[in-house]
Amino acid sequence: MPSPSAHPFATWTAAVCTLAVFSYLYRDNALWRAVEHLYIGLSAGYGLGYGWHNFLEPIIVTDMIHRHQYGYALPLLFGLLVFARYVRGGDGPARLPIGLWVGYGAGYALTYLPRTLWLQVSGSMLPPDRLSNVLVLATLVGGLCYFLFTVGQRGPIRRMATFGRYAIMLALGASFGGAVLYRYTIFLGRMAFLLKDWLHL
Amino acid sequence: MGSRGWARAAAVLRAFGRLDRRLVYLAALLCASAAVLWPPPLPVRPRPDTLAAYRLAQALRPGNAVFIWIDYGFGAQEELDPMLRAVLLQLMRRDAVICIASRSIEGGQIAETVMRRAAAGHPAYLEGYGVRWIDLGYRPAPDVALRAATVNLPAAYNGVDQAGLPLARFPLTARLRALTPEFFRLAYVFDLGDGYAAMMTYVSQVTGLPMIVGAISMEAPVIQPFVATGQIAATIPGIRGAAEYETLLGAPGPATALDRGSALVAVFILLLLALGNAGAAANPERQEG
Repeated sequence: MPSPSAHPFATWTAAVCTLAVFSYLYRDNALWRAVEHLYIGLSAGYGLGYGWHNFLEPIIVTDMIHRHQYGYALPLLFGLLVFARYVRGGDGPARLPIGLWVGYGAGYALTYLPRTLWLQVSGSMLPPDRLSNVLVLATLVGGLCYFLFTVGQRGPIRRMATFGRYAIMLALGASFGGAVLYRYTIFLGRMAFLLKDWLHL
Repeated sequence: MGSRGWARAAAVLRAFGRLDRRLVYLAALLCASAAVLWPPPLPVRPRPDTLAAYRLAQALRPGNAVFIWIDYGFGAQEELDPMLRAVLLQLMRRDAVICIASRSIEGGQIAETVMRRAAAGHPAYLEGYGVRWIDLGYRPAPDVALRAATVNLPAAYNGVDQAGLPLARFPLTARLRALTPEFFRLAYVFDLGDGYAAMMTYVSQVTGLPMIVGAISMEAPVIQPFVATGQIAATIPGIRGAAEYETLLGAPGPATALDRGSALVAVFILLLLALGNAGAAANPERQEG
């Protein structure tokens, strides 16, 4: 979205950086590489600053040092074990915090996702009383047949799998079309910034 | 057309197939410039999806609380900022109480900027931070934070807002104790997460509170089945949905301009697809390469 209240220096910086990125479309050049490195550096710096101010500083400085809540040291030390891989024989301990995180993820998925997705499965079992419902059912069965590898793709299964393949291609095509238009919307937004906010056309 | 005409057409298509890609980029640039400077005055007609979302918010009464969860960063601002702006305009007209939280790190900052711009014509909101609206910002492990918010909203955000100010000093906090239908009437998720993650998290963690998803155009079809099952109350699909929302509000703005520009761009893309395929077909040696 254009930012009419932006400081002229910010507008000029953004415009020059945008043009520098666009210049890559012509050919690789030093200006593009400079902006690329600037962007990566800024992202890393932003992430580091954000991480310190929002996660580490409130816990280490505020809670542990000022409020003497030393219990936070335990998860902090446990998290630091990921760096143990840089020490000889430290691969085992390094896997512990990652294991905890993966275990948490799996537990979360098993607890909450089945309930959410089951409604999707039951919602797909529609009465075939309308063309749209028939299409949903046919696409569902066709898609399943296409990914059925344990039995031979012969007879009706093969025909359903073929239908499923075309249905999947149709869906992917629509999704790709949406992706192209979405990217173009971003491009339009940048052009609106350059032409209106920067050049005041 | 005679054989000479066909031969000439084939030669043109072959030339197009061998066209320097930089000329295509230049054409895209010119097309985008034209779309921005002279957007075609096409009518925007609200579709059922957007209409359903609009009506849900229109049913709000003054003082009803709305929760907005932002899950996009700077990269998706062009499409989702205008949508967020339109929704905020409607909520401010309905005199709703707005509580914003973020699932992405930049979300809190983005929400605050859009809110302050949208509130330009609404002094009660412009000067009513902590009374009419609040920005809780981002918390790590957003799934856990949302789950905790259904029990105790201020505690889930460590008792501080986006800027680190204590929530206890804002009168609004006393009213919004938990993310439940008891304290809130409606929720919005502006989603660009990894595989519509925010929507999935909300659907699996919060029950009983109707949710509207503001989705980028690419995600809108994937979210549709969740509307069919009732897990999502309504959806605002992409920049087109945002433009329809502005039309319903009677306040055409950035989304309408972008949507009209997109129509011109869609014609350009169709033209490129047709010429590109015809050019490739007329250059069999390029197809093999």
